[in-house]
Amino acid sequence: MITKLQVANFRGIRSMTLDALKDVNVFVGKNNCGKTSALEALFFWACVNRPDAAIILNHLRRLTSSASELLTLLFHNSQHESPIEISAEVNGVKTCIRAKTFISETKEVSISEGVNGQQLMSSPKMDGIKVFIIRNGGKEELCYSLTLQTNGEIGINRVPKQLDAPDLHYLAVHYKDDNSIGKIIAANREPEIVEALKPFAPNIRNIKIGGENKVVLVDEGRRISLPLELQGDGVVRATQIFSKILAADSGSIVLIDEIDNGMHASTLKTFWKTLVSLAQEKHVQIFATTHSWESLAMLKGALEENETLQNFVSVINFVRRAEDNINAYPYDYPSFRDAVESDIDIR
Amino acid sequence: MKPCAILVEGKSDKAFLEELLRRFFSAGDNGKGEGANSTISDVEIVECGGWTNLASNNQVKRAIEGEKPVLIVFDADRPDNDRPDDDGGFEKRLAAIQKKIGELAKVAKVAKVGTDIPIFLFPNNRDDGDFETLLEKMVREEHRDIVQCWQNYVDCITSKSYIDGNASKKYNPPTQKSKVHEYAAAIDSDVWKKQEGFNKTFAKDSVWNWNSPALSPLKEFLTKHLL
Repeated sequence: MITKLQVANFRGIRSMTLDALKDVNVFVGKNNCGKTSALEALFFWACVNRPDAAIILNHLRRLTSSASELLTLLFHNSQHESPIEISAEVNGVKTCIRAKTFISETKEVSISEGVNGQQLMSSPKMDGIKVFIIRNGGKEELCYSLTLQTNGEIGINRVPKQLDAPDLHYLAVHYKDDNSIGKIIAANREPEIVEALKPFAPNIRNIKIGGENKVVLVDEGRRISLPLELQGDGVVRATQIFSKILAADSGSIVLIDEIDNGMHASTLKTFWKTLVSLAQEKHVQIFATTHSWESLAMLKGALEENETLQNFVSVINFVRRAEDNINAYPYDYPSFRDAVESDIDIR
Repeated sequence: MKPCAILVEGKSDKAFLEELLRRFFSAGDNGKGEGANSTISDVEIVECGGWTNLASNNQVKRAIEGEKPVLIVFDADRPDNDRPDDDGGFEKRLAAIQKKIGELAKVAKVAKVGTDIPIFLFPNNRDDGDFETLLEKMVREEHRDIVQCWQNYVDCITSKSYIDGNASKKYNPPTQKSKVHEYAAAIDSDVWKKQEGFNKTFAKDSVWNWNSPALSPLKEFLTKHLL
């Protein structure tokens, strides 16, 4: 489990340290305070074996960038002269992912004339990035490189060796992913999802893959099973989230942006209880964002009713300071409970 | 008005300060409601949940690590003669708060601590007492008899006892805090009927005398640090 995360020069974050991380970590804070960037940093860190991580991240943000923009947008303020560094501590061992730009040795430096007739040298733009892993302060080991090609595409070179990295799942707000549900159905584990969904959708008896386009169908005892998408947003969201956790291997990380999107307030307490229980049972670490005061109040209620779950949750308030340094304020259960009961807005 | 963060102990303190700022600091730069060019939206009032939480409270850390200067407005309380190590009373409480701020300096990410943080202790930054002590001085003259009614009730309760098993026991008297709450409730029936009913009475001239001279020390403190 990751207990500490440090991020430098990545996306909207100049610097940030997250301490006291637990099984379930809920990021809260104002708009644009760095919550989603923190999820993306975790994604980038965990993707040492996935050179397409940068492409996926930009896709999740619905960015349509050129190849070179795609890479420079990873860097804080697009300043790629300084490396990106993302370090995570797992069981006392610190692993750092460092991304640096490189310039091809054959690149020529162009010379132009300034307004006063002086000669100006323009620095060559970067040709790509190299991503390294550094274990416990040791030497840099190359994981992969991404090279900007003349045809406008990105070439990928990866090292043949598969590096140790936790399994990773990311649920962005606008991202639909049925892979996890398919995995669970293929393993005949549908009853686990149905059980988890019972408080939200008591009529659901089973889920399966079917129909002409092989979609997820829900059996509610009607004449025919209907596509999952015809359920309410909250049920669809809960299904995606729980199936992600159930399908994940032990030691995995699940990232969820706007976790309570589409969920009715009346279901949130049960949702949180099920989420924290599943995460703890399956040894899956969760990082989620929310803006909802209601959701936090229901989380507090769920933990109040289930004392055994209280130590597994950290609520972390992000505050953006000068020059994009992010301060993070973790709340364990007692301080979180006190803040909610005192109506103190910790978002 | 200068942007700043004011740390207070609880909800009522926060509601009171918001009303005070609205009445005396929102329209001017001299504390008398004259002039322009100031805004109370630049002043953030942060509840700490009690002075003992100063060193560990995330809301406090957030305020201290922020860009705005910080003020503290807490209770002095009263010494507890039965507990020599108690921190109550103006002198001891001031020292205890400064010590807690010193502890916070060790973990805070900026150096805006210690003597950088001006402190005001209710009721008047000089005497023992608390926020309710100041409120008692803001009771309207025409309703002052209500406070005596409350005192009569306290005297009556403390004079009574009952038998519990084999022992004679005294009844619990109401807390001093309830004095001002019951005073407000006697005039405004919403105090107990509506959420935050007591805190909403601060906006009502029918309940509180905002011209009370007892407010002067607090107004002077805020004038000095906000304007």
